[in-house]
Amino acid sequence: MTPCFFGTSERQLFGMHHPAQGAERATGVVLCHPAAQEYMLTHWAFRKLAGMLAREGFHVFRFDYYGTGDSAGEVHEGRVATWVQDIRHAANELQDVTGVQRVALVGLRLGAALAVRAALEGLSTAALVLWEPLVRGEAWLQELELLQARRATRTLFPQPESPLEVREELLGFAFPRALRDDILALDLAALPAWPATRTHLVAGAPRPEYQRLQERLEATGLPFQHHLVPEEGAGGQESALLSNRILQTITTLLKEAA
Amino acid sequence: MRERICTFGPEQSLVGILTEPDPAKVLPEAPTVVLSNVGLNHHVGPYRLWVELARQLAGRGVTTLRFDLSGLGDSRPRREGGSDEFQRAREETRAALDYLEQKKGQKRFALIGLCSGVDSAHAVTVADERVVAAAFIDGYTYRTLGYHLRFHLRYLSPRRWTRFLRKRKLPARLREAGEADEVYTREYPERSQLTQDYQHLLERGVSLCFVFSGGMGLSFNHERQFYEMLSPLKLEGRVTYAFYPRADHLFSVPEDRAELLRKLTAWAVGTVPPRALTG
Repeated sequence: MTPCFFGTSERQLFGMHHPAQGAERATGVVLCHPAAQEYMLTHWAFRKLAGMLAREGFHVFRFDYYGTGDSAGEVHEGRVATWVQDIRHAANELQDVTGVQRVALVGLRLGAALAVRAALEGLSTAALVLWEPLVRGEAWLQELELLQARRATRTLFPQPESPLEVREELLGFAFPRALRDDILALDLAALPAWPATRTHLVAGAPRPEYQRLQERLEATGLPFQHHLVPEEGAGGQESALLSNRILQTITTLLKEAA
Repeated sequence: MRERICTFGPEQSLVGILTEPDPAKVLPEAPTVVLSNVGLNHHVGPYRLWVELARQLAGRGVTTLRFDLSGLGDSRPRREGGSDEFQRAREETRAALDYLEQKKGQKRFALIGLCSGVDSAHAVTVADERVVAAAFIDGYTYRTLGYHLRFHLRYLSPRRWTRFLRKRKLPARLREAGEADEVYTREYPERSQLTQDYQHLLERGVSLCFVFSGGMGLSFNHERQFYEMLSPLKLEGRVTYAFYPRADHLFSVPEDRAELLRKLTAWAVGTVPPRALTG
């Protein structure tokens, strides 16, 4: 593992390159984290996935978006457009450092939606792997609000009385109105176009929104596969922490695509 | 402010981020603050706590290193070093101090630990004279007579009853989620040993800061308990101390976190010897 800062000095981003082991493949992989508390919960799974892919000969790059992790910026400065741009910078960094010709993107939850946007906005990709993707932003925000309500029931600590929109936070992370509006505008199944690359949807359990996305993509005629990888004990936001079969599936899919 | 990545320690396996103030803002003789993992969280800290602390401290002229112990976060597991995690954590914390001394010429350090991170921070503070300041957040607690009396009085709390009744009205799915309280297991030193350690640190002139949250409710439930449990030392006025009963263990509410950051920053800046500030 080789840590680095990349990007501009005012907006430096933290990245971690996992060099390919053994015979190098011409395709590299950029991993796109989810956001907020899901980022914290899945950091370990991403490191594990990066190691698995590197052992299969991929150069892998994982990184923190602006305002997250070790990257510059504050949590409340997070915006979807900025994070999409960060994915492009990360892909460029990986190509500059390793010389890989093509880059595949793997995104989890919000990271999956950001990866699709990056590919749509001109980032040439060898493959897209959408891991438990956020399909509709509104549904994701509702899910986070439900988790916040659940947290309130399991604690004796007094909860703030003002509504979440006023407090502009969710599960301990700043969620300003601008970011909320960005996320509300996300709907993968309603995008007017889709990146012309093979797309894999990988999930531990079926969900109506995955079906909606599948139908939409099948209608476009673009290459698309939906992989259901049930995993005992996994589910919801904790799934990545416990995942193993999903990580193996993603690795296999990328090996086949490269 | 400038942030740099560093790798150091046994087998060069440890990864950290060094946050340094602008040269014009450097506070002379300020100890360099060293932070490592809180549970399984990587060096960013729970809710990005350590990143925010490091950047606030840099704004006040203080340097910080946040790093991952081997096998956690971005640090590789060590091939050697044994299976005793506590022993490795102590060795690696000292390796961080060695690195900062050799590469940056730092000689004075402040360690900050949260929850299980207190264990190695405490042990290294006691053993290593380069540590001139230490902050322990939700560190060691001991139930006192006052604690037991207050514990039973909690049944008179309207807040607790309101919560109980509210919870009964919730759908089963949410109720079940509420039952799964988290359990942390740590080995505490004997109280007599801890008292001796603190006595030794105070004699050495180490600046100590203790913070407790309401998340320690199963063993700590009143502001006075801290002084009660270490009563032979008469710690009032000799250490920095704060109890935030409304905050949970990881200070997950942004306002609580902001208050914790203010407290830690003020304490860290206050550890600078007066002569450095006047000079």
